[in-house]
Amino acid sequence: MKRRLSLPTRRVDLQRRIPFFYKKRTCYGVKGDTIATALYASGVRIFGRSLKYHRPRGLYSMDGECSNTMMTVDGVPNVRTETTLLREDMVIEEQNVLFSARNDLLGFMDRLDRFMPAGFYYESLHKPAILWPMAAKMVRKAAGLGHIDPGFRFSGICDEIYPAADVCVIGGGPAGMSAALAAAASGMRVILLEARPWLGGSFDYRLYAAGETMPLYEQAGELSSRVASNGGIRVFTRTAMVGGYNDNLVTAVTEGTPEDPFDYRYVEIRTKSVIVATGARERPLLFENNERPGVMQPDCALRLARTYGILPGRDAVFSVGHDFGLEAALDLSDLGVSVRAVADVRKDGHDPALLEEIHRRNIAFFPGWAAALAEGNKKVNSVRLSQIGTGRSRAFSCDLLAAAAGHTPACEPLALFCGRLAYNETTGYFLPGKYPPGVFAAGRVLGLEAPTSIRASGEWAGHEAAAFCGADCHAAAKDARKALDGLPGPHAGSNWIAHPGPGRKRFVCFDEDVTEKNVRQALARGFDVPELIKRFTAAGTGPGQGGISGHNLPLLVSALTKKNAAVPTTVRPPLRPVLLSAYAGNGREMTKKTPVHEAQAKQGAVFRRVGSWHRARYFSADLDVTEEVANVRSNVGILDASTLGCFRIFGPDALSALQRVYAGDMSAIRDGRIKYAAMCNHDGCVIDDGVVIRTGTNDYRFTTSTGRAGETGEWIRYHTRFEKWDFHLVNLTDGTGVINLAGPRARDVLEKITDADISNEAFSFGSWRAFRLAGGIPVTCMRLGFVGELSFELNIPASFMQAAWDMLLEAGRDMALRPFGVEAQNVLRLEKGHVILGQESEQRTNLLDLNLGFLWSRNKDIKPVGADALGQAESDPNRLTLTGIRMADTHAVPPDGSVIVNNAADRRVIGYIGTIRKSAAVGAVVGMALVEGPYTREGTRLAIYDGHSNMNVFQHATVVRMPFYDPEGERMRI
Amino acid sequence: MSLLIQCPICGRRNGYEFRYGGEDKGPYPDGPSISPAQWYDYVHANTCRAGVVREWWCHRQGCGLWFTLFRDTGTNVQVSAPEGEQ
Amino acid sequence: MNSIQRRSPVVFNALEKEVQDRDGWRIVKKYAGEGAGPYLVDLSHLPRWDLQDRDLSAYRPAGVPIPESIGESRIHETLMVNRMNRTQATIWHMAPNSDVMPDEKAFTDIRENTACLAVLGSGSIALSEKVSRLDLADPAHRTPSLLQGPFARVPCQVVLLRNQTGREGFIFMFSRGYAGDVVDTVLFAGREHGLRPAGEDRMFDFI
Repeated sequence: MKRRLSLPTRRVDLQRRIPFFYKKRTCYGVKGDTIATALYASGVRIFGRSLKYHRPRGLYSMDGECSNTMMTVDGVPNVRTETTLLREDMVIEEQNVLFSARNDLLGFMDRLDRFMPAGFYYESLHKPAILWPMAAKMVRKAAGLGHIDPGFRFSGICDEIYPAADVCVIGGGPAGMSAALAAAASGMRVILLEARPWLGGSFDYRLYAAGETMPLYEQAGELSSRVASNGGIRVFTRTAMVGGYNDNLVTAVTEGTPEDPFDYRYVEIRTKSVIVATGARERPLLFENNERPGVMQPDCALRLARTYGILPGRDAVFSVGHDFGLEAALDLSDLGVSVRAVADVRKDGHDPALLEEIHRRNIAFFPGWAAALAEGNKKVNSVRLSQIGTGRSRAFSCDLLAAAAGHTPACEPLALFCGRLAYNETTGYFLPGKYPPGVFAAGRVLGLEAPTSIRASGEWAGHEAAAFCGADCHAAAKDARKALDGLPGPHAGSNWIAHPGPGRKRFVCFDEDVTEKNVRQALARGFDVPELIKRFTAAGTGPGQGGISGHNLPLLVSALTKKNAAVPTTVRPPLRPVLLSAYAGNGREMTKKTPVHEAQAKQGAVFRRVGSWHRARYFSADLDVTEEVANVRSNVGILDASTLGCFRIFGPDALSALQRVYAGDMSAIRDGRIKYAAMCNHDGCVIDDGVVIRTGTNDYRFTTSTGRAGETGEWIRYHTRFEKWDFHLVNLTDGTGVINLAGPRARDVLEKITDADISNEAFSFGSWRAFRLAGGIPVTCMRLGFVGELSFELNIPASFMQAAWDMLLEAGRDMALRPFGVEAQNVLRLEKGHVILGQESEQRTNLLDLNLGFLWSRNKDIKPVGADALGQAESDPNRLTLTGIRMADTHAVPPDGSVIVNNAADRRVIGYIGTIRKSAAVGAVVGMALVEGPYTREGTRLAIYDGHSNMNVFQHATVVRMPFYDPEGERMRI
Repeated sequence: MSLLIQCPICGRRNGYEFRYGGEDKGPYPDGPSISPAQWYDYVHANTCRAGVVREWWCHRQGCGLWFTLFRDTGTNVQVSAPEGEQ
Repeated sequence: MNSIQRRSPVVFNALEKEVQDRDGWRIVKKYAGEGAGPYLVDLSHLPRWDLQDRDLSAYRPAGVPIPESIGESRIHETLMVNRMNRTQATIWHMAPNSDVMPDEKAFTDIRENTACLAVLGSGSIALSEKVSRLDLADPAHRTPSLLQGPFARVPCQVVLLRNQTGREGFIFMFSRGYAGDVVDTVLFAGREHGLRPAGEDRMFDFI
């Protein structure tokens, strides 16, 4: 199709052709085209088929208000082609069609509407029950929009940005630009958001202005160049606002162009003040076949011509309810469209200048008339206009019907900030009753139509917003208000929607194929408010988010019930469909790595996330880690335990703070000795365990579990928040590399790399020493026995870790020293009956349940957190208690967490398994479980649900004494 | 998600930076041992009022301070101290 | 084993041009292709101390008094002192020197616990918007000043800088374990601004 070359309003570059693929053939658009305009210019009129009835659908509006023009683009379903810029070599496919959109083999669905009343999906095909799975499958095949390919992976680049502003202006039309300029004049940091690729709003493609000397598009150009040269205003184009929240948080998404370093960018703006200048859109007119391809909104038709240089049709009929509709008819007529007739629902109140122009061009004009029926099988070929109230009608053949009932505000952002909107009798608009502090509105969204008023309201809002932010511009705001009050106010609008008529295919919502008849059906069923009708009929729940039905539904309901005032349904973010990838932004999950992460990776470690860390889990493909475990038991291994929390606490009241949070008595720590200790919450439940050492006067170091390190500082400060204690905490976790050197030959290895006396006499189990390794590496070494063998826990400054790790590997080379992972540690400590909190315990497990009562100090003077609850729990014999179990079968290992019942007949749940593993050292499958007190006697037989298979199959276990391995603990004391 | 909180040290910050620490119920009841009822009231019983509530918050991702503030639970907005409560 | 190598948690995937060995640390002075800024510089190897006491007024680390108001930073030659709260300050060295941490209980050496990076040069503030909600661009900020909050998705101390010639930049410090992911995040965000890894010399040039 040939495009108009010489329009000053044109936004596409006709010299730069862009190839794309549509239905396997190459088509061309031009730079600046959206996918929809490129297709329209290529002659495409039927873009796809509708959700339920498979009706042909085409271009109706231009800002993505409905699903009509959604298509699959480069494998991504439901791309809004009206707002997506055309890129080279895009592959564009139709949706919801069998064969093609033009000849859809499911088109017969349109004639089955009698069998699909409102709510049909909820009520039909469910009985008999056996029918439903098959019916659901068929419905899913026939209905719906795009097709999701489970194998599809989004390959675009998503990004994010968090700019801050004093004033955020939503909408870059004349009101928004005027507002931004006014606010920036007071020195405010202003952000201006515009969903389209350029500023200008409704002025951008319009000439006509009553009493204006400069065409509107030139005014837009003048404003936007002032905005561009203003250093205080940041403009985000192609950026649609999607969310508005408390404390004036605005979220938006930018769609990238090929020149941008991203495809989508999530924009989150924290602003002091918000100005909503989102303008108005056209309110759809209801008539039979009101969504037939060839029917479009006057604004859409005008923008096709003015912005994209495409004549929307040859012969046009207009059915409008607003002056803008008349203006569009005149302009399109001047651009070469043959306008056959213009109907206007208004009997009077038209702009006389426009009427004069219509008469001058001999265009047939019908005041008080509206479209009643669009005819044509797949595309409009004629329109029947009829007089409101009399039924007189006339038909006109045409290929374009530009129809709208009037304007309606794009007020969704206001609804997000201001809450429920109310119907305004003057304008027929839904507007907020009151604005929260710092939120303002300007321009057409308020019903202003006169260009001077639109600009003046923007200026007023800009000054008000600046004043709200503290700028000294109250006088300017007052003057702007006075100027605005002297200009034409909001126009008188109508709430007229449609002729009352019998038609079955008058669509209220295009996305969900909801007709006026469906709304009547819902009313007949007793759903009498829009919010309920929306849910029952699904009107407005589609991807257009009520862009078509949002205001017509409440107006229609109000008109049909004749008793309820029109109340719009709730507006929720996102206002436009947003890819989850766009919300995820650059999507990085921040994870900590230990200083020897890379070294372990090279040694074949498989990592898992524990708390905020990556930890090496396995060093082989053997998930039973048999060799890793055996090597620690018989030779020596090293484990990277750097992820353990490590803290320094010091100051005159450090001991008091420790006494508060640890269950035990911390005053009894001897020099050079290690105190094992646990923290409880107020319920007496264990939240953490670790060791405490005293390094000097009022100076302590303590460790926490990996997952708890981040919260420990908060925990201690929380539980001392009412005290005036003088103590200080330093989190040393990340700076403290920890290597657990464990196994019978651990001392032999360590002796090779230190001169310190580490003999059992000089350095016994349960004590700590500070010394240096070869090369001067400082270590704090603890003799602990978590895995049950002789072990040295070396605390090493992080920057030395790699050197120390390499040194140990070298020193232990001839003693079969090998790294082991957390799974091997898990088996080793299980054999010793040592608990890991969170595996053997859950939120309700207290210190006593874990047989750790010896860690609780009953000294009433200390009274640590949880002491009262432990006192209360002590006398309860039925609590779940830590119990050792041994499976009857020596091979089958039930999953961790398996449920334990008293016996296979009763099946009363009496506990569950914490950890269970095959133990080579014990020669059986052993585990630790939490079991009700009465069932914890040695020898008790327990039944365990086999989680892997049938729920009626049980395995059996016996309660045994713990620890399973080296019960006297001799091996760790050598 | 959009709640702004005034940290006494860092100023107004995004609510995500903070940890909620529950209603401010004052210090743990004093005495060598307390009754189960007293313990229960302190640990588990909350007013859950719709309106202005005094709460503990911790600026966990910032300065780490625990402090109290007043929040309107109806609007999820921090408010200034009601009269007579400072 | 005499030459024990100490390692920074920060590793740049860039060609080293000039390297120096200093107290066991291997320090890159210059990278190839550092570009025209902004620069990302690793300062993790430089000493950093934590200072906590009920009364900080008596302390003079390396002769520098502690700033009185919270959030204030003070630069004295190559030493930076940041007041975090009523009882705490951090002391960052921005150049190698022989200062030994005072042997007082109130000090803790936190160099090992933290990673420290600088982003220097024009575009650095614009870049910061992409990785943090902290409003570094707020004209109300004085320089240098300290902000504590999430940056590059992890809790950070950020010190906003402006040198004598008006060039902008900032230094930020965070838990050491996050270094790899933070570098990734910042470099990704800074791509469009031309952010490149740069050697320690860029920091010295800046101050």
